[in-house]
Amino acid sequence: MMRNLLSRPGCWVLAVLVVAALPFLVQGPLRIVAISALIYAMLAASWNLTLGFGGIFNFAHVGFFGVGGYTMAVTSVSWQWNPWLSLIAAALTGGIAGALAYLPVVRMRGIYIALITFVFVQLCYYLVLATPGLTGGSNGLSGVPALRIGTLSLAATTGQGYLWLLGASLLALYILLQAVMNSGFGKSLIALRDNENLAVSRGMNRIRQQILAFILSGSIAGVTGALYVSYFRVADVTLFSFGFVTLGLSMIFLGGTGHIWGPMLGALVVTLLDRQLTELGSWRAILIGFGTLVVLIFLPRGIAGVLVAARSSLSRRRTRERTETPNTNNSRGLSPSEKEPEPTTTR
Amino acid sequence: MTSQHSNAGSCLLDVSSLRAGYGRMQVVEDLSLHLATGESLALLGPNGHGKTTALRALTGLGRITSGTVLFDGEDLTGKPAYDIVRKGLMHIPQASQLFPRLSVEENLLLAGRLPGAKESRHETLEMVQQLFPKLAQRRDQLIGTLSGGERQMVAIGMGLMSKPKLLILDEPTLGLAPKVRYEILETLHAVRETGLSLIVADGDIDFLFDLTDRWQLVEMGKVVASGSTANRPSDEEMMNMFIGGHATPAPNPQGGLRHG
Amino acid sequence: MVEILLSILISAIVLGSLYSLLASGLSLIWSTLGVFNYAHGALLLLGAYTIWSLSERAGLPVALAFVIAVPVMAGLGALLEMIAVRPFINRPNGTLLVMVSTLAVASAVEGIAQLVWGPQNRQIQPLTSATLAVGDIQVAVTTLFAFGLTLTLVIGLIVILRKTQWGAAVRAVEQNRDMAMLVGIRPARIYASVFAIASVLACAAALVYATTTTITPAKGFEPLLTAFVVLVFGGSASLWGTLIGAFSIGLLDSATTYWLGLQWSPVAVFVLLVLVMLVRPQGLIRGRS
Repeated sequence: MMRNLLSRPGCWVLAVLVVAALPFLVQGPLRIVAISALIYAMLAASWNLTLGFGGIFNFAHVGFFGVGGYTMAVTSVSWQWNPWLSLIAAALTGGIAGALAYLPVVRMRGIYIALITFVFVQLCYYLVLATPGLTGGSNGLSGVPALRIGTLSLAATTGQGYLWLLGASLLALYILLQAVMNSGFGKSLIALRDNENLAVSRGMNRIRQQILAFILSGSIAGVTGALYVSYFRVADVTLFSFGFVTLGLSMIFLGGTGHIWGPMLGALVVTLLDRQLTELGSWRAILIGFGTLVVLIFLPRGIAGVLVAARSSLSRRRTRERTETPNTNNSRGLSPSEKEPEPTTTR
Repeated sequence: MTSQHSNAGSCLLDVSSLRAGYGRMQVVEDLSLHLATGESLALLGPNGHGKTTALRALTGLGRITSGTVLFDGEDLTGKPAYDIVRKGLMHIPQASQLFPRLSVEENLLLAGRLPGAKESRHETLEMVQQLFPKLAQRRDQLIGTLSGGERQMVAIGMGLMSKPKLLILDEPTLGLAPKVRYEILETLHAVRETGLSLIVADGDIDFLFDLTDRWQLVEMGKVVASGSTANRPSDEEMMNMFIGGHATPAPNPQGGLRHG
Repeated sequence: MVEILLSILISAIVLGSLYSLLASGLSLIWSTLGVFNYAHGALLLLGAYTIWSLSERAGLPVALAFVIAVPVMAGLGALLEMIAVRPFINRPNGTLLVMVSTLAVASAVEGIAQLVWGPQNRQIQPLTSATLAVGDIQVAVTTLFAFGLTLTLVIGLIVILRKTQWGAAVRAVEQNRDMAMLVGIRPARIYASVFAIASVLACAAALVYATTTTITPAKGFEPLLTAFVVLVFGGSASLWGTLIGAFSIGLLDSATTYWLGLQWSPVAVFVLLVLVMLVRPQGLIRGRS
């Protein structure tokens, strides 16, 4: 069961208050870190829709992010659009990119999907390099205008406006994902992941549900990319780089793929850690790489998994103390999302 | 080289309170069985009630939740299959495709690679080929091109190549025509003459009663009845044991469960 | 015209050799373990830098440097298997986890390479600068050598898989892991040795790669991606198919580079990949799975 952090009305109020208070909580040079963290949180959480909940080996997500980023850059710089319109355009192009990435893998499973989607990102990378007239090639496109409301730029006072916008966006994303995962659509995605044959025999259309997941997550990633480019004012090919892929994956797996807020938490932790690492040059890649490896080995369910399991065992202990009857079926007490599944002898 | 000093009649295999299964689905609840050296045991029971899971668990292919497996005095509980087979306990799984793109001879020789069997590999191969003349004919054919019966013969041949003390066969007659079953039965009788101990799980009662000394009925993951095969129960008695009062739908380990 | 075709052909031979060596290692790993090794490019990189260090820094002749690098790479390959594959292969979602873990290791190796060898362009001296005249064109002997080495190694691998005990064990694990365990084969040992052999092939690829172009820490992934395409193109199950696929793609690559430019050839290759996957997901050359 997807635990909804906002299930109680008190949580709603708290969340809105926190978002509103962001500029006060985060000042000056920390704002760039916070904004980066919020952007990565959106990237990671939307990626988890296809990767974690959909169970699809989707390595193309960074491509959607980049496509959205370049949409923002090209439309607002070369075509002089209003950046807000560019955001909408990015949502569209991101969604289309999502659909395009899924199409070649329609008939495939597992590993092949990983390969093709990975190649999709590379394709975007090389296409950008090959069309310098449109995309600025290896130089990228700079001079992306900041978002404005009226005459007020969101970038003013070290990005105060962006901070609010992104905080609110992340909250909105959480609510959206919560609604999606609790809907029939979300549940069908999980059902298709866990037991495809059973789900299909119950009438679920695998292709339709999965392509919708790709379009939705692509769209969100597109907007996220656009916001990234809008804040940093430049778009270049690093948007499609392995750096982002590895970073994104480390956030998802550190945070935990089983919950919506897992990747968000992972993004926050990794961004904070990463901040300490920027001075270290090559050590950064080494630490992130091996750090991810260590997380994968020792924290298979991520921090979210650890927190949720700790909370369950705490509440079970409390119930046991309260009722004073021996709980004979301990193994049944854990919900499926918290119990470590038995390893099977498959390759 | 595994020593051969197991006396006929001494305890070869001792499985106690075996519990095994898949995640929350513990298909094998509480299974115990005991086999003396030189004996052969039949495992009967409806499909899905734990026979295969139990056999896989005790030979190291599946996970044991609890219980113990003692073989020839040694505790093999939880050891992986490649260590267990070195002790002389060989398992031929149900409907195994063996190594489909290797030839008959390659399959057989692979099975003879274990220390102890390795030196006399080629002699054992000849022996197997004498037992199953068809395999000598088809030595270079790929397994994938063989009929079910021929494949089963290769499987049993592979079992013998490792020179085991105990051979476990899971559904050896599955899908085979009566004539082929008879051939296999005869061969297994010949094999038993050499003192090899046997555990066979199958659905063909006549086959089992002809081949083995004792039987045990497994239902819902437990042994619910046992006896000697000297007296074959009448068809009515068999029906009662299988169906009357015991009939419950087999639990489906796949249904509705999350597996990653 | 003939000169143009010849030079495209020569370039294709070099590229094809590189791709064959990489793709056969990947194919071996794929058919035995069922995973794609995203760190294969990192192995290529480490092989190249090792040979470079031994030849440029330690002053050894390139051939000797290569011979010394081979066991080093084999060891690194087995190490990679132990840290990035073994912990995950038996878990649910194991194959996905291995992909992520090898990707993470690749990233880390890039950092290590940057640290140890710096970001500058490096190149290994070719074994010989001798050339052979074919018509009006001078063909570098090293090209023929690369071709010869590739054929020797890949065909050698095919023979080893068919004729040796180890080869039989590898094919056994590949075809039926359970049964392999039941006849006493330890899958973990097979996996480690498969990675070691794949790394040796990558080391040879590194020799071809780094003598024909410059290497930097960031260049680990480029040839890997094309090798992936080869794997899919060639059916990923038959090493002969991989050979044919590699040289075909090498040809495509060099032809498009000549006519459309360096930046379009990867696009062409990937578009081909997508087309192949749409039309025949199991690859063009018949093999299994």
